[in-house]
Amino acid sequence: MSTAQVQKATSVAVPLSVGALVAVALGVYGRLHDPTGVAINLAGFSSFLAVKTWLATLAAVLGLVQLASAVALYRGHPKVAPLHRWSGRAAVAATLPVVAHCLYALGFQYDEPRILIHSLLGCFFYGAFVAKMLTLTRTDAPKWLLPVVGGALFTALIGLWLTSALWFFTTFGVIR
Amino acid sequence: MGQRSPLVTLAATAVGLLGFMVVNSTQTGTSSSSTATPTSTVTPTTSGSATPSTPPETPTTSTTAPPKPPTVAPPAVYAGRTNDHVASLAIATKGDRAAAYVCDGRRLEAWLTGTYRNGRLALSSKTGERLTATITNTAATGTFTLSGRTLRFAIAKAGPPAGLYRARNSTSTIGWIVLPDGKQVGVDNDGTPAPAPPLDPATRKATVNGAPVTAQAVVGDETF
Repeated sequence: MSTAQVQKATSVAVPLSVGALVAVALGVYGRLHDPTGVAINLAGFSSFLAVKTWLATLAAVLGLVQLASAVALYRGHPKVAPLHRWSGRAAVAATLPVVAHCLYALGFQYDEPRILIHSLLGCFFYGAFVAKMLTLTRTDAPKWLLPVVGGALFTALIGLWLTSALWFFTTFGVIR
Repeated sequence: MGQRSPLVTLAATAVGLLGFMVVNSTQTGTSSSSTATPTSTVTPTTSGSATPSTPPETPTTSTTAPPKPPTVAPPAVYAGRTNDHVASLAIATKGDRAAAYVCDGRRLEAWLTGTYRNGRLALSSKTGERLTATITNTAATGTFTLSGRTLRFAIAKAGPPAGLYRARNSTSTIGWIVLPDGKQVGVDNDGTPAPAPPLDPATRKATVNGAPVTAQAVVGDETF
């Protein structure tokens, strides 16, 4: 293998393997940490579950903005780059209180298919996020890598929303 | 162009997550110390929640029962034990509202409120426990989820004195489930859950830490 090939291979392997490590680490933490079941409650919401639901919904909407702005970027509209960056940052920021509660209070669970899928996707999402951020820093990465990790991130986010917030809304109604 | 900015975003995300985890861990002090403290020194009550008894008759035919459930639930109380006998629970329904109490008579308890719609109950507690059930004229079947565990139950409709009772005074909230066989399971929570003193189901009076309290029957439209 030539040096160029090695460089090309590491530009793919490094972001993906670091992302995979993060995903596995989150899953292991979620499994090993004894779930506390505690919840902080916010005024104006019926439970922290409702707070999480709305934050996840906000993140999912910002995820749609991400998809639309990414498509625009690839069609040659560099003006939307700041929108893409900041909506992405906002989306991840909105998920942080949610994942902190998931990991700390609930942990990785697999009692029901919905919960198993949600737990797996949750770990995968942050792994994909790390992989995407690392991909962005590498100019030598192949062109297909960024849309693949970005697409994985978006798919995971929507899957997470479907297995949590949508379940909450259909079970308890659209409540705060 | 910002080669470093994704790394900054990544670092900020990690710091943010860490911050929220720390916030969560500060919340443990109040709630988990109360659930994690074994209350072994407490004298057992006459409710004898640990005593195995005949399980409430579980109507196995209930799953095939009414083809169209009513839109609002008739006032009813369902009481019984979870399938694994870990805890007892009582659910009261009234109109489109429902209230439930789950406890093990020692240190686990949860007060839940929620809704009844098309034969389905969906309840949640302020501390994150959830209860979902399908109800028929004779039984409630469903699951209760608390911090990672799922308890399944199939409990029968219960008439007085069986039911759900609640009393409050300045320091504690006490919940009692009176099972169809007359046995009581209750938790007295003044910050640290402990077995509840016996309740006289006829007068609904009990003595908590030397002071008399009167319990109210929970009917389903409470907000807790």
